[in-house]
Amino acid sequence: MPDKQSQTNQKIAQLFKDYADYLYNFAISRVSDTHVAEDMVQETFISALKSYDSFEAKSKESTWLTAILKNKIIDHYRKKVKQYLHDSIDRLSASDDFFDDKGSWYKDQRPSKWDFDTDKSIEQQEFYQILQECLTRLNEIHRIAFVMKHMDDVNTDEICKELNVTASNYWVIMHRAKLQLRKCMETNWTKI
Amino acid sequence: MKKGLMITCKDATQLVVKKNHEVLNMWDRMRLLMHLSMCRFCSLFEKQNKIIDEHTAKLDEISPAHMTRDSKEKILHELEK
Repeated sequence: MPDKQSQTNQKIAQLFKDYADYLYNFAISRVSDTHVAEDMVQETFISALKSYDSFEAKSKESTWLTAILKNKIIDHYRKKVKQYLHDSIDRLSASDDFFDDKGSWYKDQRPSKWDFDTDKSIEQQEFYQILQECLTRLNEIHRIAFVMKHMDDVNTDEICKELNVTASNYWVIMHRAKLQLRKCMETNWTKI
Repeated sequence: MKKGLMITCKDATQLVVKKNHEVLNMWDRMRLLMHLSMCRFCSLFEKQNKIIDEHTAKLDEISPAHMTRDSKEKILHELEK
C-alpha cells in the first residue's frame, strides 16, 4: 500500500496535469517572461505539495492553487517595483511620442478603424493571443498597473500603494499603458 | 490640462482612461463629450480602449498561452522526486 507521502505526490502531480496551463497562462499575463512564469508555476506546486495537509477541500483546488500563485506574483511585483527609481516614472511614462507639443496626435500615431468582428470566435481567439503578446511587451511598471486594474480588479489606491506612486503618476502610467497597448494591437492585429 | 472647454487629444485620451476608473465630474464629462464629437481619432481610441478592457478581463478564462511539453515534464519530474 502506498504511503501517505507518495499519495500526496500523486495527487499534486495530477493537479499539475489539470491546472498547469491555466496557472501558466495566469502567470504569463502578469510577469511576461516565460521562464519566470514557468518557475512560478513550479514553485506554486512545490508550495502546494508542502501545504497539502492543511488544504481543506472547502475551497476548489484551482482556487487554492491560484491563491498560492497570486502571492508569488505579488512578491515578484514588489521586487520589480523596488528596482525602479521612481523619479524616472515621468520619463518612462511621458506620452510625448504619441502627441505633438500642442497635444494633437502625431500623424503616424493616429488610431485607425479596426475591422474587427467581435462575434466571430476565430477572430476573438486571435485577438486574445495578440493581446497577451502585447501585454508582455509593455514596460514592467505599466503592465503591472494595467493588469492589477483590469485583470485583478484592484482599486486605484491599492495599486498606488503597491507601486509606490502618487495618484497623478498613476494616471500618467495608465494613460501610457493604454496608448501603447492600443497601438500594439493595431499594428499586430488589423494589418495582418 | 487646459482650463477651457476645448481640450487637446492628449487630455481627451487621458480623460477616456480616467473614465474607466471613476465617474468624471460634470465639467470633464462635458469637455470630453465635446472633444469626442469633433475628433474621430479620439473616438476610435475610446471605442478600441473599451474592446481592449473587455477582452483583458477575460484573458484568464480564455488562457491562450500554453506551457511547452518539455517544461511540463521537467516540473512533473521535480514534483515526483
